Amino acid sequence: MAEHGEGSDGPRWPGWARLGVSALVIWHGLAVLVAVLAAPPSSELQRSVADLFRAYYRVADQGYSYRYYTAGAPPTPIVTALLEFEDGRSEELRIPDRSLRPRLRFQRHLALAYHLFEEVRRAPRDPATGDSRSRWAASYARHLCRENPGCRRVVLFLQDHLNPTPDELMEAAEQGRTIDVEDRRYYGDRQRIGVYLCDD
Amino acid sequence: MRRLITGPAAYFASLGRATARGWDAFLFRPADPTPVGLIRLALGLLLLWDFAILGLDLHAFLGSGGWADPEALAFFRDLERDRWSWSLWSFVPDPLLVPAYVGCLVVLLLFTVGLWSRTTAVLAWLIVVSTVRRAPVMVFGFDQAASMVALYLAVTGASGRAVSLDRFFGRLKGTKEAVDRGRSATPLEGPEGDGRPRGSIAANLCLRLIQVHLCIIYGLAGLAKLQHPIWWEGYAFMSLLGYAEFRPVDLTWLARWPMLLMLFSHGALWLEILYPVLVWVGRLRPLVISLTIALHLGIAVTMGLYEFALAMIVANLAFASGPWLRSLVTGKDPEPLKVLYDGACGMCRASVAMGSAADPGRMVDWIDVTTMDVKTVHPGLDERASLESVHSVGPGDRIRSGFETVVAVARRVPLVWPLGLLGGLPGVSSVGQALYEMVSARRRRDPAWDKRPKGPDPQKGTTRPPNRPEKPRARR
Repeated sequence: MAEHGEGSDGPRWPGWARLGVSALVIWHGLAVLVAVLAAPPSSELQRSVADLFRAYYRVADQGYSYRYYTAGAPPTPIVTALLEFEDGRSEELRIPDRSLRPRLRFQRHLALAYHLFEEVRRAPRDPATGDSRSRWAASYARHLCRENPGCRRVVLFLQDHLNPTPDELMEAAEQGRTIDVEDRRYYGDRQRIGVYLCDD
Repeated sequence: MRRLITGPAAYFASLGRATARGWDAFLFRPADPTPVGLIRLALGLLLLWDFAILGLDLHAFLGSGGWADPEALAFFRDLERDRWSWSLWSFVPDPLLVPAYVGCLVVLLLFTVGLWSRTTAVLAWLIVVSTVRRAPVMVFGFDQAASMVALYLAVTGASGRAVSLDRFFGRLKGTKEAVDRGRSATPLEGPEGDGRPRGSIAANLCLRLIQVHLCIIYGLAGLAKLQHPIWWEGYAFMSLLGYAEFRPVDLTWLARWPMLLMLFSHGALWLEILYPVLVWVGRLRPLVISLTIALHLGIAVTMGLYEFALAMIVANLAFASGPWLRSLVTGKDPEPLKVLYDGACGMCRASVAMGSAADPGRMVDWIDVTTMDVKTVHPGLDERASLESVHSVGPGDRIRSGFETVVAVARRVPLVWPLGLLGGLPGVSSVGQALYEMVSARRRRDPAWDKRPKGPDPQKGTTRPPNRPEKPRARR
């Protein structure tokens, strides 16, 4: 596979250049490694070392955990936005919108739902209303207000789209039938994120 | 007692020396830049596609009134005491969003084709990171993989050394001079006339950084999966089949074979865990990379994450060998197409120089008709006809002329593959032949050309390649 040592584009690099590049490579490699190790669950040591590279992660856009689908296929968060207009009508938007084409566009909107889900989980709740104080939710709501002239207020909801269990899948396959994953039983309860007035 | 001290000291000294030697050989020896060029080309195409799609929601993602508005971004930066994140998009006001976006597309296009690669690779990375930072809410695995590869292409500056217009124009200068000198039958011995790019330490650094980064990604992603029972139980792959929001097609019928799906799950897990070790074993590397590509294709099919899968496959090209990649284009031991052109025609010489500069590995042997007896190339050739239109011989005894030769050359030179693919179609070949004849009839010949000295080019001092015809006789 990878081919090395054939010809050269000039003289060997001088010692100081090799030393400098080596130092940078070690620094960078350590930063990348530590970022992955510091993802939860992790030790205080791993997190402390990763903290040393915080500025570097920001500047170089590194420091990702790369833990893709480590838990298999967890439920997918779905955001629903209820838009209420001044003329009394209302409209419901689903994020991600399944009609979005091409697929990459749908994936981007799926990422919107995931990021909001993550932040709503972390953000404090209003003790009086129980609504989330998520800043991303407020930002999404402001965007929806701007995009929909005449919109009076936006109510955001979060809902899990559950997956069939392996037993259900095997049973259905055995019987030669398909599972309707859009059935209501595959959707969790709607959880209100918050109500956002468009003139705020 | 003394040996208890000197023994370990000698061991550590020898360990240090061996490590330094190994490190030096790992990072600082030249490597074939072909995989780097191919990675640039493929990443560029992916980024162009990504940006084309982003353009459909440009204001929604990058505008001040978008999903991630500046107020929310500022809040999170304050919360995380983040003073280092940056995005060039934050300097672009809404009215200039479209021109800036078009500028990004132009840069990405230049990056893809490998023009001014050192600069455009850095600009491409700036664009990728700026976009990720401006709209962090739309980021998913594809952006992380693209950012990683773009960073290495940018910092090493090696992306334009192969499969690029930079290299084409660099070679063109040499081949043009050689063709214009054209006093012998070996006019095209340019600086890298055999099509093989020179090895480069920068290319090696780029490949090594991507390789090591991939090992970290796969190895630790595999270890992280061990925390979750679904991977031990073998149900992980099956759970993806029922992933309602992701799956582009319903593959749940595969659940009829649970053992097979369990094999896929266990296989994927152990492939990830063992990747950082097995990929360095030369004999196993093709197998490991093939299985990894299959894994990503599986992810693409079951979850519809096409761009992410492609970006990871592109990164895995860092483990591919340059000669092997080139052989996919040239074949293992290609028989060069012998093309006879009229050296007295300036336009013909310019075309030959371009064809030679784009030749990936002596796929075409260019022969100036005015310097030799065409019968030495093939007895079926006629000198007069060869001067009137371009002729080619090969493979075997097959003789082509005119537009048919142009198409045959285009099929061997990747830069003009589209012409090679389309040129053989019935309508296209007729139109192409008519165009060729029109251009050929109007070309101008240089009367002084035939008076130039014959014999080997004293500036070259190179020997004729074995696939060249006999030395021309001065006969005209």
